[in-house]
Amino acid sequence: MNLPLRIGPQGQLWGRRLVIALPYVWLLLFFAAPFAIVAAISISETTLDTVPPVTPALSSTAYALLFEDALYPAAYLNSVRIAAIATAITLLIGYPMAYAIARAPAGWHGPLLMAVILPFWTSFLIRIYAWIGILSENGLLNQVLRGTGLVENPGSLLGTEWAIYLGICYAYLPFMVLPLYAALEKMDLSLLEAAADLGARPWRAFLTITLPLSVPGILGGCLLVFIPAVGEFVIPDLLGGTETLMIGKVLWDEFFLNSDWPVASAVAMLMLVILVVPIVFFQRARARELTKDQGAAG
Amino acid sequence: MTTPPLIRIERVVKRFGDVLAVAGVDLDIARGELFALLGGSGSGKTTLLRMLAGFDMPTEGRIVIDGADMAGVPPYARPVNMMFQSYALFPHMSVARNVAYGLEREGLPRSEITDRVDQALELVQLGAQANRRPHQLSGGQRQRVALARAIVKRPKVLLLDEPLAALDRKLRERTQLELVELQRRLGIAFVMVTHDQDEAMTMATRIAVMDHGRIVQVGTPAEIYEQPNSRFVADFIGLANIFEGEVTARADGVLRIACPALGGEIHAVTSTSAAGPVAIVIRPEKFALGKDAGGLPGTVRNVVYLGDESVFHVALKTGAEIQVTRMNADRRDAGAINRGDAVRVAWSADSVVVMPR
Repeated sequence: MNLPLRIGPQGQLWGRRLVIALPYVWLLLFFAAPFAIVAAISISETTLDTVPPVTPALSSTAYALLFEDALYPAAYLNSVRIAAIATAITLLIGYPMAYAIARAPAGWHGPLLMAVILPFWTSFLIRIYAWIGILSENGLLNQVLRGTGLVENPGSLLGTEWAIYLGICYAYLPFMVLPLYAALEKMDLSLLEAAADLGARPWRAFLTITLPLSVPGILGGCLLVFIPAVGEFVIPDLLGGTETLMIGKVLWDEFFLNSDWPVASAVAMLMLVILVVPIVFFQRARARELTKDQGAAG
Repeated sequence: MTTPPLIRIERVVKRFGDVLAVAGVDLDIARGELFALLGGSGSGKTTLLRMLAGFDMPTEGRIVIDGADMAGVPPYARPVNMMFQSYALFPHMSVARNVAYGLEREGLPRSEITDRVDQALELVQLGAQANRRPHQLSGGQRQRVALARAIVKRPKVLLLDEPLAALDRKLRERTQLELVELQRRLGIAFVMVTHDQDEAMTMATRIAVMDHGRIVQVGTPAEIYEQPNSRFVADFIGLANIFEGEVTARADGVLRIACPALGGEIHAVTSTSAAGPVAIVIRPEKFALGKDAGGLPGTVRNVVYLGDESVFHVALKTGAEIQVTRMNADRRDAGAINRGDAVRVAWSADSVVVMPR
């Protein structure tokens, strides 16, 4: 039997609500609820071996510990520093790449972007493990260095901060290249002709036209690299040395070595604040600038 | 030739791969001219302009501007400025900074830059908008910013790529006259690309009509209209009635031409020494149309009333179909001759243009 599918105005309204509700339900289940749980754990009483179920309380002991023990501030600062340096290096590598792709002949854009994304087809973990093989004492890199006689006794790069930079740049490069490409690709090339026509040499035209117009791409790419890099655990754990202190590792240690869930949750909450506050501030500033522009138009 | 031309284009050819965009152009443009390159899309007019600006380099031939060979000279070192069809205003800079951009590249002192930017903005009546961003302006204001930015450097030549194409009709007509006025005041040579024949006729001191990468005819607007040298030009500029004929005799500057479409032998007052098969062009307004007057008999097939004038489509008894325009000088004129009326058309031997077929 074939029933005609007829949706009245009432049905349409419910359909619309359902479509709008779906992402909110998703956010509630997989973001808000876990976030609330972590927040609740972070303010519960911390004792030795505090694992769930924890008794909810209104205690600030976990947070107090973060400021008393010099380890935590050091780990936060170190994470932000390493993430910032790694982001800057990624930008310096990613910008020329994105520029080259955006200015390549039209037919090349697809394949070149594909090549940038291609490493994602292999597991992140496996790719980081592969770097161990390259960077270790008797790894590929040192074999090449020794074989060519360039360096007689190269030390191992593995276990140094440089290995972390390398790992972050390698892993997050696509997140930098894609927003930069989007910003550079949509740029009107007649602007560069106008700049040249007005007497700007190519390098000057780049600095005064291309660079300022790609700022949204630069900021987008930097945020996409910086934010996950601050909390990164796998790369410092596998490539960095034992002495490299990053907040992601501290977090893991609190959860799984010390089994101190309230402190671990407090570490996570504070990391969120450290990342969210500057982002919100930055978004506000941009929104203000936009409305100011439009306000003056009237 | 007493004074050398400001721009000399010699046997310039431009190929993009297999495509021949400009197929051998020779052209001189003098100081103070408002020169129009007129043609349809793909006629090579824009490519020629871009070669003057330095964005494209000629495959063959050479371009000399003010005595200097432009071969290998990049755009930023040429004594020309361009107004782009899209205006190409820098979206992240204010109006004043857009206009100042070219002067900053010359490394002029701040105070001079400010003065000249103010002057340029006054000239285009945008002094009050100096701190706005381009996206906050209307289309007409943007066009004037682009103009101010291009003239503030006092170039020897201003290149204009379809300068008014993005404006609506009323604004376009007013801006045409403003541009001509500005050009006279500045004394800079303007070279303008347009596909709009009305624009070229209204503004230019001389016009080059282009087709398939070649210049078909160069002349003043009146020469191009009244003395077209080919069917293409006659057809491209304005309305034209084109017939075929055969020169039978020539005496005292008068050609006798056998033209069956116009009822047998006609006379043409012309200096051309055409012989044999020719094409004959008579502009629609050159015909006199009347019910009682003399001339070739025909029937009005259709009347297009345009307000100031009317266009009559007349089927002649000879079988030819012509267009005749008539000013509606008197309010009673409109409606005096209607569809289906029997009429007679006449013309003078002066208005007949003869060209080789």
